[in-house]
Amino acid sequence: MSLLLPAALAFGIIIPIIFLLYFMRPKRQERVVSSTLLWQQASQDLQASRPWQRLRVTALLLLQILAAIVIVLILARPATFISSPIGGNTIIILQASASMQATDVYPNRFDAARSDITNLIDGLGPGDQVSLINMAKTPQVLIAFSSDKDQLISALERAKVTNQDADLEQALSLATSLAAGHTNAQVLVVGDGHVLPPDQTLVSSFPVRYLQIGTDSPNAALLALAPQTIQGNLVALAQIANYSHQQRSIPVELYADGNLVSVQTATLGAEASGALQWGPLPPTTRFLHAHIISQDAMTIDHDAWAIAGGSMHGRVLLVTQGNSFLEASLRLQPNIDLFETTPARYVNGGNFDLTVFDGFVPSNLPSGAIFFVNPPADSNVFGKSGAEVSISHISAGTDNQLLLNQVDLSSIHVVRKSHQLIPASWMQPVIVTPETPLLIAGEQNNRRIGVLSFDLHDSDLPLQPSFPILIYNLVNWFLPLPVAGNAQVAPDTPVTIQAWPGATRISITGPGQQPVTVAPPFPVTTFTNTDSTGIYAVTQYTQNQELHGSFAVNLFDPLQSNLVPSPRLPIAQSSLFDTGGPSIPHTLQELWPWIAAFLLLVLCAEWWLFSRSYTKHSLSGLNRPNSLQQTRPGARLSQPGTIATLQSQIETQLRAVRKRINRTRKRLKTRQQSKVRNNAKL
Amino acid sequence: MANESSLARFPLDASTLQRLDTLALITRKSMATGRPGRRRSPQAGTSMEFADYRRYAPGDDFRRIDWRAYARLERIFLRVFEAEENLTITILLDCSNSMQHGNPPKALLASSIAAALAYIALKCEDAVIVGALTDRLAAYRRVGSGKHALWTIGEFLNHLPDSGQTDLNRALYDLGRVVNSPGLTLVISDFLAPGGYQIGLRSVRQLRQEVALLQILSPDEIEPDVQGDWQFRDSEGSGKIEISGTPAVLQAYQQRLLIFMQDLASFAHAHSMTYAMIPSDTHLIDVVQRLLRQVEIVK
Repeated sequence: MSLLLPAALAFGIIIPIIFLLYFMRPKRQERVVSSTLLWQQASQDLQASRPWQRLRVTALLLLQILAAIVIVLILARPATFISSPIGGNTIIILQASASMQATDVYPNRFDAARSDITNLIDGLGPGDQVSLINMAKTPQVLIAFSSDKDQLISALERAKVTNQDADLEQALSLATSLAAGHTNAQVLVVGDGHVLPPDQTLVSSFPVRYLQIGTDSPNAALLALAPQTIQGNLVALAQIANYSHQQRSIPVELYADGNLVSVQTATLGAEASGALQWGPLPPTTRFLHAHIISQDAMTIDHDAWAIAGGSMHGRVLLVTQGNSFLEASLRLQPNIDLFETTPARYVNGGNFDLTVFDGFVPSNLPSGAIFFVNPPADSNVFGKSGAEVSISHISAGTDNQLLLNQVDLSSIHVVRKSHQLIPASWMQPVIVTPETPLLIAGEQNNRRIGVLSFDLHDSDLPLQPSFPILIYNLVNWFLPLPVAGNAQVAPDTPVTIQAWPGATRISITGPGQQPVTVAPPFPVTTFTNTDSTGIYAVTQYTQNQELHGSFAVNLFDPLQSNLVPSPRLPIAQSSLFDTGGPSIPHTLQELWPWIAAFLLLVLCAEWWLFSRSYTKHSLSGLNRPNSLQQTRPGARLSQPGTIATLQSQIETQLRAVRKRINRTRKRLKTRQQSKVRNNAKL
Repeated sequence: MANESSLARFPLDASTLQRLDTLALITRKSMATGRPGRRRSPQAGTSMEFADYRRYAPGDDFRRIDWRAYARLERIFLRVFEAEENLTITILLDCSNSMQHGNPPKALLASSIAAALAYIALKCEDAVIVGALTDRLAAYRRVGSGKHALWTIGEFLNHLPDSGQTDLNRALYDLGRVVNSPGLTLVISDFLAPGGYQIGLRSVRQLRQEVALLQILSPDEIEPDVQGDWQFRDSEGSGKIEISGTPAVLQAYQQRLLIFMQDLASFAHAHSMTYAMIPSDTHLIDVVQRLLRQVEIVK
């Protein structure tokens, strides 16, 4: 504690003055009395002719001395320097990644970080300003440069921990834009340091300090779970990691469609990972769920889900005179049920999801997606198929649908001839030649149509490795999975559901959540509520049926599962919060309000004490006999105390004297009478 | 006219005087003053009251010889009758400044008592001397049983000197210049004299006076109402004193007052004086008919 105005201690002279006043006799009010004779004899105080009296230590004196000391203290403005490490313009970045859910510190890392930040906010000085950024995959500004502690605490309470990564680069970028125009800005990152990018050193234009949260706590995590078909049998593969400094045996249980398959134990060395395999599993299994049976500081990575056997199955009709290439390639697709017929036997109907017409175009086109191969020359729904022309050079066209993903067009050498296509305006040429597009694809009225303009038998395309890939891409485009890829997404990843041909409504039901309709309107709205891990069921309603698909949200993030706090941030010239770093002005807090409150108490006590003694005097005055009452006759008999006693004593004595006198008189009379009698005798 | 104005200023009204008509001043023993009156004298006199026989001596009045006794005893005895004389009642009133204080003022009651006693004395055909005491015998008036005696006393009491210091010893000593015969002396004072009162009272006693001391104290002297810190100034200017109204001081004062009154009563008893303490808020009739009767000053 220090004094802001030490010169005010000079007011301490008031304390000896108070003592002096107690030594000095008070100036008294004068009152004329008939005689001071008895008072002089009575009072010991009257003997004092000196201006000083003996010091009487009373409660009032002590309270006055105390009040004087307190007043001098207040005048001296005592203050304490709170060692608040933040001051000026501070931007606090609160890490809200999945690892902040770890409970190695009470109650968890995120709440501990919020508590630390709350303490820092409490220690803010009058001129300090603080901004808060919630750092997840997409950093978010909670509050910008506010001095209001209530608002800061309220903004801090709005911060939520996520299952995402924490992108420090974006957060720093956000902080830089916030700090524009503010001098002496500084950044404090509060978290465990598991941030993106982990292997890149960032550069910051202002000082960055790092308040480390968390301990070196062991953790086991599932890093992958996938179904696999090995020799025709469905098996489940899981990857488990041991993030600890010693070997651990980690039991993992697997559920297939909610039924426990078995529990396997993975014995892993320190900081090692390994795989477990379950199988064969029932071929009809759709959902896999792996769970680590152990108690760790972090539990969100103890569960993993996977979709087995494809998420959706489509019905495909192949209408051809005979095309073994198409038939073989379509049969390889895992998520379709293939039906075949010839053009002669083709009847429109059956509600197929995809119809492949090979060298044939019916008069009435079916509903659902249509893939035309070598369409005859005629005007069709996709445009116009003209006469056959020779092809010179094949190249890729507009491939927005990613139909040529992993397809090598350079390996196609021989295409003897092709129908010259004049596509409709909504069709996109995917493979083009200078003469005509070879592959066009487009979507109209929620129906997807693709056209391959040449006969596969006139090309070496079916013989190329790219052909089954191209067919796979086409089938996936015609009959899309709800989520592209292996139906695995990371938490909080925006998911765009791929609509099934003919779908009129699409809804998603997450784990333990209400269904959310993402379409209509089309195109499908991006689904962002994927923070919780688990299975998300996707239901697509077509005109005649409901199609059920799903995707899984798993953490599978080694960066977040490894709970050892990062010793430093990937920022050049950043420093740890505990070791000081850039100089931050201390916050000065004056103590006078507390001392003033104490002074008020002292004054109240002094007033109470004074009024108490005053009331006593007043009551004694009221109990005194009223002089008016004594004016009536006989009032003297009712006089209290000493006077009555004195008078009774005097009366007793007088009575005794009177008796003596009477006795003497009688004696004298008797003598006189005897004398008279004697004289008479004489 | 002059008489009417003096009557108007007499301290007592007619109704009070009427209640005093039945009273008379008494003395412990009879006194020989040589002046005829209505009081029994210790000397033989010519009243109708037989007192004693004594032997005849040459020169005695033949008319008082008891011839029947001579016939029986053949000795000449003279019948002695009691004499009836009057007394001189001396009423001394303390007129110092200390008597002007109190609630009600002590001087007020003192003046009323003096007037009442003078009235009683004059009614009994006694001679009355009223005197004003300050640091000396400031004034006195001797009145007989004349026609204007009452009014003379009234005028005197209305023009008492109302200032001055108290010196009871000297003032009472001065009484010797005024009183020359035995009588009854009543001293009405608060007796709060710094120099004391003993010498003066003894000198009065030596004047063959029966002495009655009527001490008048005000209620605030008997039970002082003192709160807080005060500076008391003596009304007679003898000094100042600072008093803190603490219970201890008040208790010490009352003890001092008790001792003072006991000393005065003891002195009175030792010198065959009568003593009575009268609070100044006591009614006059109550004083005369009850208090003074109790101490046998009046009957």
